[in-house]
Amino acid sequence: MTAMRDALASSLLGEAAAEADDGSWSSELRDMLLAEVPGLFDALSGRGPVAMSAYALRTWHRDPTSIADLADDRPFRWAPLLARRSIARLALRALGAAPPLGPAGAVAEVLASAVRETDSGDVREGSWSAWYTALPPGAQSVVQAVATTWTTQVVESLAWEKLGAGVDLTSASDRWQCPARRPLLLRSTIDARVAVAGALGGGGTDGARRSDHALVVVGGGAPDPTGKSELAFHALVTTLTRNRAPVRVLGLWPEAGAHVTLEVSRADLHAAAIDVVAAARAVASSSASNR
Amino acid sequence: MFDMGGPAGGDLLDQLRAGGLARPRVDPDQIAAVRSRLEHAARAHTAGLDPGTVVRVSKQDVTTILACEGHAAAERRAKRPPTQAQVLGILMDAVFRHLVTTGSAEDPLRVAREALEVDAERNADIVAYLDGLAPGPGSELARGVEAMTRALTRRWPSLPARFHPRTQERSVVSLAGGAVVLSGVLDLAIGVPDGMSARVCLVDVKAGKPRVEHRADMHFYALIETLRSGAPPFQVASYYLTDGRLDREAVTAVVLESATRRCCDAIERLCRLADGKEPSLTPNPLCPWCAARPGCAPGRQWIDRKEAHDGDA
Repeated sequence: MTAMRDALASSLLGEAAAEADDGSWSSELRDMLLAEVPGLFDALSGRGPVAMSAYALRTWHRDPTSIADLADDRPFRWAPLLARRSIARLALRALGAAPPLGPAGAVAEVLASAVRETDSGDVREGSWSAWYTALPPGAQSVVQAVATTWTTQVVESLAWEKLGAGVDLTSASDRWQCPARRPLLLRSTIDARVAVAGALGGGGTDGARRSDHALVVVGGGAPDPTGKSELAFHALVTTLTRNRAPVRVLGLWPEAGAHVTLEVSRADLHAAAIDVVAAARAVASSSASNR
Repeated sequence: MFDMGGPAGGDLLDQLRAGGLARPRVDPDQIAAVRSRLEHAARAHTAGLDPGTVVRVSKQDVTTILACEGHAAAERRAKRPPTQAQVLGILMDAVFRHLVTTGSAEDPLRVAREALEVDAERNADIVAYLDGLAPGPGSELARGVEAMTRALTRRWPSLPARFHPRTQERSVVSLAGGAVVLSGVLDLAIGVPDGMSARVCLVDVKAGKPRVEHRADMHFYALIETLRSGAPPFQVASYYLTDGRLDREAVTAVVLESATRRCCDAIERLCRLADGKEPSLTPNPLCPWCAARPGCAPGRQWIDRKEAHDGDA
């Protein structure tokens, strides 16, 4: 496993492939979505945006009839398996503390800090910190145990320590909203953004800004056959949000000991946008027929 | 009910880390051969299934289907409420996880209930069972949890951070492009695989009596951990809460071979069921508890013979 985690870190940091975003891809993708999506949800009940995540797309790939749920305005409810990823991301940052903390110590520190911040009113309502702090002791220990196990598996999967100062564990979420009366919100949660050494600070010969980062996304279970489409979705949302495509996306599935790397191309992003439009159409028609 | 004579504290810690035992080197060829055999079995037996069918294989599925295909089919159809013994086992799993995570297990029944309620959707049947308890059996269950927790906290050592203890660790192995999924959730894993040598010990906590299939269950866990991490565990163990015994077994090539054979056999049979084939019936000691017993002639004959034999004895 050590050799594998080292190899993954090296390949993550490798230079961009020949085809790199010269800054034009995001506007192409935006035009494509703006031409297809607005108006799709106008007839649906409810007022909030229809949110689409990688999970929703995976579910749609598995079972196209399940997509109507996205249009529901049901409130989100935290559960230990949902909170573990947010906690692990913070624990990965805490792992670098001195004296060094193991995964269990890092998670304990993150949770203690969440309680302190909640008690002092520094967290927003609906956050995992507020949810965790309000739990009774037996439930809190489940969250701690689940997060510790997950963090340990995530640490085992990739040589994070080799990613150096160019790893960003703070900007975990990208969101892009396609404007409409009832908008479509694309939401991507990633686990790390990593500067790609060869392209750092790079500008192309034409002066355009080139891709300079890669994404790491950690998932539960085993990758689906559509695993690459899921990674392309993350690349799409990042491109739309930050006006620049990532060089690659590394997907890790520690529970399965599996990984998939997508070297991001213009074609991948177009395919992801087509997927989003198809899923959005399915939401619209399915919700309309259920009314 | 409880034997207080099992190993405790440092002795148990020593057994968990198998002090003095050399950690076997990983044999990548052996692991590749194991994966190849399972892949071959999965591809061969899922070839005729409807596209999109996923055959899920847990330790319970392996044990049940190898005992009797009819029993496995009946268990999948029957939605039986949990028994008190099963609920006790689930509550003790929660107490054990709480102890390993926080270092204490005070008020165990409350803690276990809170642990189940935080994921109420997943644990709905157990929470409903606890809600529906009349005072009598409820007290019996509570007494069982209290007594097992007392024994557990007396014996179970604090695990050093360098052991990297993980509770309820889930492992998944996907075969034949996801058409077959092997999975398991371990009560405790310690040590971290390094790819060069076997460094992980897997532990399953048991609230009931030792049973012959427990070792086969652990072999299945060893198999999926090997495929997931690329290195076999050096040791698997069942920890019995009633007497504090740690039933350990080194994970050898023979263990992996036996687990692979059983798993291939189980995949074949589970695929037959998934294909709608008539299950074969194999009378066995599980017959008295089988949901299909009323309509199963071979099973009823087996039970009759057993009862007659027991009566004679």
